[in-house]
Amino acid sequence: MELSNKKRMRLYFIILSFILVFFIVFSISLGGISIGIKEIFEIILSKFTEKNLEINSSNYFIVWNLRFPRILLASLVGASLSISGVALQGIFKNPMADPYVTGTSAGASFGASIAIVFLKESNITIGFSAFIFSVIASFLIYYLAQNKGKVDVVNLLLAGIVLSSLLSAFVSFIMIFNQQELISIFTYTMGSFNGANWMQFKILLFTTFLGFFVLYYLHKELNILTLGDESAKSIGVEVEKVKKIILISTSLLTAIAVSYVGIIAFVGLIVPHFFRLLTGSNHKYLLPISFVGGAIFMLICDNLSRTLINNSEIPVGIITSIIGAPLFLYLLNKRKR
Amino acid sequence: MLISVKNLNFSYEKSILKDISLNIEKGQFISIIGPNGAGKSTLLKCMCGILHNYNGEIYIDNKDLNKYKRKNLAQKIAYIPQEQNINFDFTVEEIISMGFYSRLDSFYIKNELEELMKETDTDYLKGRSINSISGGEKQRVFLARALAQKSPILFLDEPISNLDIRHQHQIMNLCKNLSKEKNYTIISVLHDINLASMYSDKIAIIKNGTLVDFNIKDKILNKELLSKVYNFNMDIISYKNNIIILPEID
Repeated sequence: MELSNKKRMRLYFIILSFILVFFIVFSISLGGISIGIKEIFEIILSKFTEKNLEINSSNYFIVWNLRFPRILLASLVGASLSISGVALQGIFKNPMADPYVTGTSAGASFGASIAIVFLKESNITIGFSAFIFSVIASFLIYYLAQNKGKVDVVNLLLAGIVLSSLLSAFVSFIMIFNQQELISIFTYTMGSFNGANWMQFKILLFTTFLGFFVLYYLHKELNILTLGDESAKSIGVEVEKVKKIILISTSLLTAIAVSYVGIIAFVGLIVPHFFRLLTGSNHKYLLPISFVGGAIFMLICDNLSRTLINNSEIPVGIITSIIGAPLFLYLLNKRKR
Repeated sequence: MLISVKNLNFSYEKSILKDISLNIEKGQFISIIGPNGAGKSTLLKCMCGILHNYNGEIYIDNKDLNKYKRKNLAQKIAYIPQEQNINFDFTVEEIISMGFYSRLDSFYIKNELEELMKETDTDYLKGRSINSISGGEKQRVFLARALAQKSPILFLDEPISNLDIRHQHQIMNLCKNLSKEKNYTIISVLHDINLASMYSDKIAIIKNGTLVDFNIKDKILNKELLSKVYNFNMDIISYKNNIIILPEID
């Protein structure tokens, strides 16, 4: 039984990985200028083999410098936010927690804005500043959400809303006094993959896999934490230590994603909720499947954001909010019942 | 002595436990009884290492409780809390398997898991979601999860609250058998004095954070002491070698 369940999960993972590869190629072909899949493969092949194939130079530029880094970045952002959501839901013992709800994203956006205005603007300083502030926000929310040693969902939601509003106000304040950086900072409040580059992809690739491996290593602990702190302690989990590691990991995953593409709400809520229906709640399966599933989900949203309106792009955060907000309300209502 | 508590004091905002000392021997079934808010659950949580900012000393197997690492303590003590609401749909099998976490011999869990499920009559629930089963079934699953730790001391905080009479006795019988046949030491907070009377070897009675008495059940279960502790007149009758406690009838 256990083996067949394992096999089933492996099969889901393989199928989803194929779907992801398909979506990556499909997404690259999509856009104002349509580029055939054969040409995309030729461009990639020419890059790696340095063979001199007959390739249209403008298409080469579009694929290699614009679309490819954007699509890969979007996949990693989707994976990062999804597994952050899975882990936060585990430690808050609530399926409504996600980096947006818990203020982690707002902390990162605030940190990134500060770096843009006050520090030397580079991918590393922005990412680092976003990470520091998202860690502070995560721990603050975690302690504010506690009521007599237990996480109270009302406290969690209220603390998340208040902290997010406060940090957004600070970001707006920074925007008013730094009009020359307005567009850069504005991106952080709406979420967009415009302007993605290979450097951002490399940094995000490192943090996403680092975060994933830390969380996957702790999958047993994450399972046990959902039983409650008292049970987890009695089973042998170093509860406070594990929670700190998870909060730092989710902050890293969220912060680097947010620092490059801005706040994209509810991804960490939607993806785990959907894939839990497929895998159940065991984090051993939920984490890797949400990783790949989150990447696919983000590509779908990004494709919609690029193609829904002709010659214009809708910020991807709007699309995820339109899907995520009703789901959030549904979960809230389910909890009430 | 398996468990030794010396001058235990614990306070949240006010003093909850006051100068409690007691010794528990291996293989005993101990019940902790007392009125609401007496500090029974707090005492239990201190003894099993959930609450550690107490004053006084607690020794498990002659070692200071605070000196145990979590995993090592979990090999000595298993605990089932009063309420366990799980917001995620884990299967019964997954919940029970979580109990193997602290074990070093986790390679053998497959066979043991099946045995445990048979022993606690949870095998037919294997693939079911924990949130789709009844209160009595849940309690047996949590007991199986605790037994998976293979720790010789089992702490239970009101394990039979919200259960009907059949399931109450099913759980209590399971615990009693563990104590008699496998030499488990069971320490349980109970509200029902009659169940404490029926199953315990010794009873600790607590009022206002103070240990009123800790003794064999025949000495604890007397009309005067119980009426005084609960501030309520009670009668005691004997039926088939059991002591039955009733409200005083005029």
